Amino acid sequence: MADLSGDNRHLSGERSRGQVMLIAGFVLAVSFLAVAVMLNAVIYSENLATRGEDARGSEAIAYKADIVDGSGQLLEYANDNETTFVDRTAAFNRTLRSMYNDTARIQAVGGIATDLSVRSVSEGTRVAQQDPTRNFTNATGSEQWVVTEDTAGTRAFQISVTDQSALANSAGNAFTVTVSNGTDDWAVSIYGNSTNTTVAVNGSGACTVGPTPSIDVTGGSINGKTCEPLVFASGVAGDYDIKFEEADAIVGTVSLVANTTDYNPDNYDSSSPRVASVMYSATLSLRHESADHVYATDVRVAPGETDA
Amino acid sequence: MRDDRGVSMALGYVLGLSIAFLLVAGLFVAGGNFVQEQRETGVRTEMAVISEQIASDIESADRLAQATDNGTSVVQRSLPSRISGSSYTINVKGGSNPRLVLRTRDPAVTVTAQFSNTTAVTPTETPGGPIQVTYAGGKLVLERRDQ
Repeated sequence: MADLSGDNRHLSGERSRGQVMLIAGFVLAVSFLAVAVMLNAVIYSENLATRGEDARGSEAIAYKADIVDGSGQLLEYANDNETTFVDRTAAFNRTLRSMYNDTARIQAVGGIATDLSVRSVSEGTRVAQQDPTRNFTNATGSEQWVVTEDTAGTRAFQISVTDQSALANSAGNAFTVTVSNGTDDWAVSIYGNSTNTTVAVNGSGACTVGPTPSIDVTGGSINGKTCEPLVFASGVAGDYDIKFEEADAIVGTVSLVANTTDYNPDNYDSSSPRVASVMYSATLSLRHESADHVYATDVRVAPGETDA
Repeated sequence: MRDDRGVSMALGYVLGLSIAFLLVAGLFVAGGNFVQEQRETGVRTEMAVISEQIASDIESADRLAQATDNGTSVVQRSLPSRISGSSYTINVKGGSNPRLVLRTRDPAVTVTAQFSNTTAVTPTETPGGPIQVTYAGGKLVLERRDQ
């Protein structure tokens, strides 16, 4: 029988037997070690799989939304607190810069570089009748008048009814806002009795609410609740005129910002209704960048605008 | 009298050695197969993870591109350039059935990952490693990034 374990028959074989097994054992041990190393890499990449989105794309989109919200408020603040278009634009640029400086520091702590600049500001017209005891006629008392002409967009169109008894009882002689581009029309009428107010959109239904409502015409809501038929300037493409009809059949306040500088100054005076040259919208250029992503885009800021 | 009388010394050694080699060869074959199988499983698992990561990068870049107006978006990721010692390729297939095909040659493993996109994706094939998904000219492009 072959002797692998070695015995004492040969003096030289006492220490030199079993090399084959030894070497084989080493080779197998090394290959199993390689498996262990490889499994380690697998465990690492499976661990990577459990992590969330690394590139922080959602942070970039959240940052953009925050900037749109913040700069929208700054735009309204500048419109409210300055008197000329130039001053308003300057105030907007100045406040936006300081808002950016503060947010950039917070973002930088999280390893994100940001950049924000104003590309353009478009001039618009704000029309406001802020006397709650007056109707919506123009400065000369005419009940049918054109508010703005060649309007490319309208935002923040708010009507607040303060005197329920001034409203017409039926649609026939109700206060109506008409939007017309010459071929297509869109109109909303407001009428009611002592308990109900009806906001009727021509051709697409009506919403009925309680007395003295606040109507967000461009936002499509009444007293903060969505009114589905109320979609401003729906079906009217291109530039349009905004008209008030039967403007003596409503008492309250109205304000809107129109993307135009065309209007008849005879309709306005220094008290009510007033007109002012304001910023309609601003286009900003923003950049959000980390080691893993770059996101640069233009954003348009027009608070209270739907898509009209 | 010795019990190995009549058996030559040489025959004894040959028998002993051949048994030892058979045993060792058997161990090598079994061990080698085991290692190879584990390696293939490991490569497949790693590639599945990597392909899902790339797919999530493409979808992330797609979301950014959708939220971009007159801008750019880039999503970068550092991936290993070798998986268990073998290099691999990333093949992006766009069109109606957008998917990623990752392939290694040795061992030959192919892994496919689906993704969904709104922005069109340019079909490309790049070697694995640090990659970036860039939005340019209305299309998403997956390309290798220099580091």
